[in-house]
This record gives sequence, C-alpha cells and structure tokens, in this order.
Amino acid sequence: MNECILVVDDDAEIVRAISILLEKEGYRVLKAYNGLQALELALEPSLRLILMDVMMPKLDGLSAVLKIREQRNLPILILSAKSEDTDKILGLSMGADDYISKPFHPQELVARVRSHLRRYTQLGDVNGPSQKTELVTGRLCYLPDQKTLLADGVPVRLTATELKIVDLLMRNLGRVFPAEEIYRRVWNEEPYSAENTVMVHIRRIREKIELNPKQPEYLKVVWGIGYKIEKH
Amino acid sequence: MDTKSRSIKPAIAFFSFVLGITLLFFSGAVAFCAVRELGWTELTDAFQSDYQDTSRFRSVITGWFTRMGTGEFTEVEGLTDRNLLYRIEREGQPVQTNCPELTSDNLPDGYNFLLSFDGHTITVQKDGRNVNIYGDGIYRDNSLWALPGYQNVPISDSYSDVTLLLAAAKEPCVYATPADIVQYSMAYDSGLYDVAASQQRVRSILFWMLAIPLTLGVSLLLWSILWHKHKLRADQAIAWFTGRIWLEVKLLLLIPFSLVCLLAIYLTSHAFLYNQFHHSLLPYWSIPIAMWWAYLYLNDLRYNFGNIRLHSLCAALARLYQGKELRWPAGQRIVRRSVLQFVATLPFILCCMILFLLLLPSALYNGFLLFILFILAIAGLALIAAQLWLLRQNRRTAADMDAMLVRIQAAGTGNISSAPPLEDPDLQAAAEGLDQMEARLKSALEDQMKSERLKLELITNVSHDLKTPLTSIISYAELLRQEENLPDHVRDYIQVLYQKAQRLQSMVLDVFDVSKAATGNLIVTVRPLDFSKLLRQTLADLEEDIQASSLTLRPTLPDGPVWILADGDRLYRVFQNLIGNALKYSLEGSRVYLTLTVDQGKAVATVQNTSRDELPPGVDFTERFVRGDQSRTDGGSGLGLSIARTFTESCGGSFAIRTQADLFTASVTVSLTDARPEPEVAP
Repeated sequence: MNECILVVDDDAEIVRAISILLEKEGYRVLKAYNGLQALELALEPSLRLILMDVMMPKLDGLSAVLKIREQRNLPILILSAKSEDTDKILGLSMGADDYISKPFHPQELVARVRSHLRRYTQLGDVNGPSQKTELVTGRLCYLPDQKTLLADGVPVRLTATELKIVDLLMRNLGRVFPAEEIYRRVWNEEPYSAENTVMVHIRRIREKIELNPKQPEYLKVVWGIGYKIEKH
Repeated sequence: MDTKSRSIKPAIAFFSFVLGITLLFFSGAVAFCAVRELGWTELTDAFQSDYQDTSRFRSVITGWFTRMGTGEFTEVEGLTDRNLLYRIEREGQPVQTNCPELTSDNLPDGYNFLLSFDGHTITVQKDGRNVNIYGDGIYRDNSLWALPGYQNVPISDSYSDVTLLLAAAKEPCVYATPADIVQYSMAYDSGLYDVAASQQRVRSILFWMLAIPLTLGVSLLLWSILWHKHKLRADQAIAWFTGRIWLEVKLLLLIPFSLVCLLAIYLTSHAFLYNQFHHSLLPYWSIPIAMWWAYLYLNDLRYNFGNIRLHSLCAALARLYQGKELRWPAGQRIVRRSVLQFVATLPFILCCMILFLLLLPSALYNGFLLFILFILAIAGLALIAAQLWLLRQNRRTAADMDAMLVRIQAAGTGNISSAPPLEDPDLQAAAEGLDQMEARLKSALEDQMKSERLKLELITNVSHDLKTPLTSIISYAELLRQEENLPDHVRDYIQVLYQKAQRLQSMVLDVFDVSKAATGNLIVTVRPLDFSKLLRQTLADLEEDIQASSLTLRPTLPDGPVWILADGDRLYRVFQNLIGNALKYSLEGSRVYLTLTVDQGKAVATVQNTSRDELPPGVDFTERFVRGDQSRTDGGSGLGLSIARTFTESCGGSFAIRTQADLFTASVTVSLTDARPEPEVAP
C-alpha cells in the first residue's frame, strides 16, 4: 500500500528514528526539519498523514498545521514536549487530530499512526453513510446486533464476559458504573469482591482496545466512583 | 457518702485541733491560777485521802493546843461543834471538857485521833497507834507539826500544870447552822469541818476545771494529729476562703487584731508579773481570740503568700481599668494615664491648701511659719503647673502616636494612605521610615512574583529540553530492541538502556508534576467521591504488582461509602505512590496494612509497612529527593512521597509520615462531605 507519511521535527535524530519505525511498518516517509519545509512537502498528493513537532525554527508547528488545514484534509498528529492540558487543547483546536506528548512510546506512536490512517483511508468520516445501530466513539465502533466491537475498523476478540462489560458501557457512553452494578448486571449475582474482579476484566479489555493501556483513552476509571467508556 | 465524709472529716479534724489547743491553754491557765491562789501546801492537801494528813488539820490542832494550853480558851466560849473533843485539867481549876467520858484510854466512837499532853510530853495516837510527830527531833521549816517538844523547841514551863486531851472526829460533819453561828457569835467552831470541806472543794475544782479539760484537750489534739491530712485540707479550705478576702480588708482588720492582742498581752503580763486579775472573765476571752486570729493570718500567709497581690481591691481596680483601657487607642491611653496621675495628686494638693488656709491666720504673727507656708504654696503651684504642662505635651505626642499607628495598620492591610506630617520629629522620622519600608516591600513582592514566574518558565523549559533528547533515546532503544541477530550480551545491554530510559522518563514527569504543584499551577478538580471505593479501585489497579511482590496486603476498609471532596486522579496518584513505595521498600514476606477510618468528621487512610532497611531518624520523608536509603541506588525518583504530600494538600487534605523503629506509617486525612455525586444519566 505504501502510504506516504510526513514527519516534521527540528531534531534530525528523532525524525530518523520515527522514519525507521514507520518504514519498518511499510510506510513511505517524507522528512522535514522546520515548518516551511513541511508546508512545501504537505502538497505532495500521495501524502496520507503528518506527524508535526510544535517548537521548530522558521515556522512553528501550530502555524504550519493552520496553513496545511487550509488545503488538506488529512490526519495531522502533533508531537510535543509540552504535555500540559492547555497545550493539548490548543493543538487540537488548531486543527490537529491527535496530540502525542514526548517522550512517547515508539509502539504507541506507530499504533496511533495506523489507527488514524485506517480511519482516514478506509472508514471515512462520521458524516458519511453509516448504520444507525452503530455506537461510535473515536476509534471504537460497537455493533450491538452482531455483538462486535471494532477498533479502527478491526474486530476485537473479546471473551463473553468482556463483551458483556463492553456492551453495557458502550450502550451507556459516558455514564459511570460502580463496580457493584457492573458485577450485578454482567454476572447476574450479588457482588462479591466486585472491584478486583471487574478491574481484572477491565485491564484485559484495555489491552485489546487501547493504544497505550497504561494511559487509557476510552475505558477509564473514575476514581472513587466507578468505570466508564469515554465519549469522544 | 464519700463526698460527705470528705467534707466532714476535715471539719472534725480542724475543730478538734482548735478545741484541743483552747482547752490545753485553758487548763494551763487554771493550773497557773491554782498554784498562784492556793499555793503548794493547799494543793498537796487536796490530794490527801485522809483530812487528818493535811497541813491545815495539823495547824488547826496546833492552834487549839496552844490556845487551850495557855489558857486563852475558856469554858464560857466552848466549842459549838463536836468534831473536836477536849478535856483540859489545870491545877486549881475545874476540868474543862465537852465530853466528860473522854479519857486517854477511852475514845468515843467516830473519833480516831487523840492528842494527849501530860504536862511534859505530847503524844499523838491515831487509830490506836502512836504517831511520831517530831521526826528526828529537830524542828525545821518543813517539819510537819509545829507543836513544841522538839530538841530545839522545848515545851515551855507555862504548860507544866496542864494536862490536855484533844480528840478529832474521823469524818467531821456540820454541827452548827449559819443561824447558830450568828446567835452564838462568841462561840468557836473547831474548824475541822472546814478543813475537810475545803479539801473536797479544791479537789472538785481541780477535777472539773483542770483534769477534765486537760485530758479532753490532749485527746482532741492527738486526734487532730492523727487526722493531720484532713486538718491540712481544712487549712487549705480556710486559706481558700481567706484568699477571697481583699488584702485591704485584711490590713484593716489588723487594727482590731492588734487591739485584741494588746489586751491579751496586758492581761497575761499582769497576771504573771503582778498577780493581778480582772474581776470579770470577759476580757480574758481576748487571749484565745487573739490566738486564733493570729492562726488565721498565718494560715493565710502560708497558703496565699504568692498571690496576696491578686486578691486586693487595688489590683482588682487596676485590672478593671486595664481591661477597659484596651478599648481606647494607645495614644488615648497614655493621655488618660496622665490625667489619672493628675487626679491622684489632687487630694494631696487639696490637703495642702486646707492646711495653708488653716495655718494662715496664726502664721500672720509667726515669721518662720509664714515663710514655710510661702514655700509650700510656691511648691504646690509649681506642681500644678508642671502637671498641666505635661498633660498638654503628652496629649500632643499621643495624637501623633495614634496617627502613626493608624498608618502602620494601613500599611499592614496594604492601604497606603497619605497622612499629614507629624509634629513629633522622632515619630515623623519613623513615619518616613515606614513609607520607605512600604516601597521596598512592594518592590520585593514584585521581585518575588517575577522570580516565581521565571522559576516556572525555567522548569518548563528544562523539562522540555530534557524530554526532546529523551525521546530520541527511547526511540533508538526501541529500534535496537527490534534489531534481530544480536548477541545475547548486547541484547542485555539494550534492555538496561531501555529500562533506564523509561525510569528517566517517569522521573522527568514526576519532577514536572512536583514543580507544577509547588508553584501552584496544578489544576485540581474536586468533586464528591467515595474514598473507600477509591482505595478498593487502587488496590484492584495495583493487583498485578501486589501479586508479583512477596508482600501481603491487608486492607481494612469500611463497608459503606465514605464521601469526601477530592480530585480522584490526584488522590489515586497519592495511594499509587504510597502503596508502590510500600511494595518497593518493605521487608520481604511482610504485610502492608491499608486502613481507612472515619473519626470526627474526617476520613483517615493509613498505609503501614515494615521497612526493609533501617529508617534513619529525623528525616522528613516528604522533602523532595529524600529516600530512606541515602545512596539512591533504588528504583525511585525520591519524589513519590513529595508528590503524595503536595497532591493530598492540593485536594485540601493533610499528609503525615510517622516512623517508629522500622514501622513506616503514611496517613492521609481528608474532611468528610455531605455532597453526593450527581447521577450521570445515559445520553
């Protein structure tokens, strides 16, 4: 398939490392070392995704994202050493699709790139025709009729109990369920040591659906209350 | 029951003490008076069982012998009583007797004493036996009988023609009524009954007024000594009571006290020195009164000496004034004090003026007195003038001082006011100093804020600068990990590289968190949550790590919810760190205790574990980069507890570490709340 990805960072070593990682996955990589170069290369028609650093000489990443957005509707992922919530919000509101803070885990970066590419190239956007029974949140799509969970369009292999938990949480996106309630509704029993049992399953589900299970984006704990699948 | 006896016992002990001492004094006084009034002979007489053994009896018999022997006694007079029988035979004169059957061999019944004189010797028989009345035959001061017949006091020749018999009754009784005595005014009473009767009287007086009070007094005193502790309590109670009395009252009472004392001293000294007694008993009461009054004073001194000043009227007035004084500003206070001072000198000045007016008429004729009065008047006027002048000066300074205080207060609250310059040059200088201080403080504050901002920027920049190379390290380490066909030892090196890079990353994140929290840039979203559930979730979350360690976790959490207001993510980090620490630093195979208790509106969660290494004493573990092991070879960043503390405090809780021997206890205390989370409804 040889999809083309643009990697922009003023640190040449980082660009090289990312390139090697991505090329190993079979992608074609274009390299830029500042915002202006990125603007030029962004016009390349075969380009499918951009990884953009923020703090760069000549033209900073956020301005470059703004400019690129004027012409192209491809996924742009921001890579930044700034990990503040405010920085993330700013980046995403400038038109970026995802925000990865440095230092990132290489495997997570690759997973995110793959996820965004699949959604961009295969699944299309939310405005396109879609089945009404679908329950969608970000990368996740749940088909209640077929009892199937798709992550980036790929079916996730879940056990029966895991599927019941996902079914409950996906049907009530954003709602927080105490462990006892999950236990009662999934196991149909009075809860016993609910927290531990539920947590074990939650952890397994996370490993299957989250890009970085240690910092989950979807299946989240609301400390002191319960569990939920975040609405994206 | 107990309280009753507690209050009764001291009272009893005290009263027995008072009564005992008083009775002892009383009996001492009685003994003194008895010795003074009666003399030793009368006193020893009183204790003879037989009245015939008394010296008074002997002197009565001697008296009768002398009178009858010398012929002073005549039949006409006779004896009205029959306590003494006599038979006088004088040559050439009829026998005189009141009992004709009395001979030297025949004593009537009821008579056991016989003195017979045959013209040469005196023989005394008692109960039929001869009694030696002369002792060794030489008359001395202390010889019992004063009858003649001693070697140095021979019987004079005038007795030579007389034989005499005198018999005394064994138990004398009354023969004459008072009327008889009046009727036969010339008649004689033998006086023997009187001897026996006075012996009885003295004996009963001594018994009732000396012996009984003495024994009673001694036993009461002994009792009070036995109950010494209770008596002490009574003393304390009395001291407490007397402590309530104003010092001034006590001093005033000294005047009547000293009068009573003087009276007592006067009476006793007169009794002792001149043997003079007052006819009435009443003044003698002054002696015990003075004694016990003095006791009260001494008792008061003993227990209340330290705080005598506290319970005086003057001190109370001063305190009252001090209390009221605080309502006025400091300057006003000073003015009022000087007014008070002025008022205090007024009585003196007034007295001087009255004296001046009183003495003036007579001084007109006395040059020296006039001169003295003139000087007095000048001094008085100078005093008044000086007081008034000082008052005015004080008032000015006080006004300045108040203005100054107002400015200082304004500076304290940050309201910088421009006040008119002060009159007093020193205060004005101080005010200017204050202005400068305000200005400097302001600039210092600005500097500090600037440096805070710079510090935060620096941290952000440093963290950014650290993260960029770290990204490269992690990326290339990952690439190396993916490399195939590498020798095993190289793979091992790469693994180390990879792990250390991961740790460096977590440390950089920790440093960033701590500095953010320390500069107050941490965003905290508090909302109601169940503390107990949070801990359960944390345990479930860390289940794998706990299982992997050799430790056992023993949670003790309440069944019901414990609602608190906190930021769940932050609080989770707190316990993640605490339990993580416990897992990392605990003695292998030991237990870690997680306890949540609710007490007095607060929820307290504690994590307790036994340290593997010895805990150094006196180390604040919540300081940044502090670890039990100073060599820093373990895995942590040294920021775990620091983060736990800052995060707990940012949620409004308090964090504490206690170490006791190897037991390490971290506790997180958060207030309970009445708020509940809003039910989240499915969209």
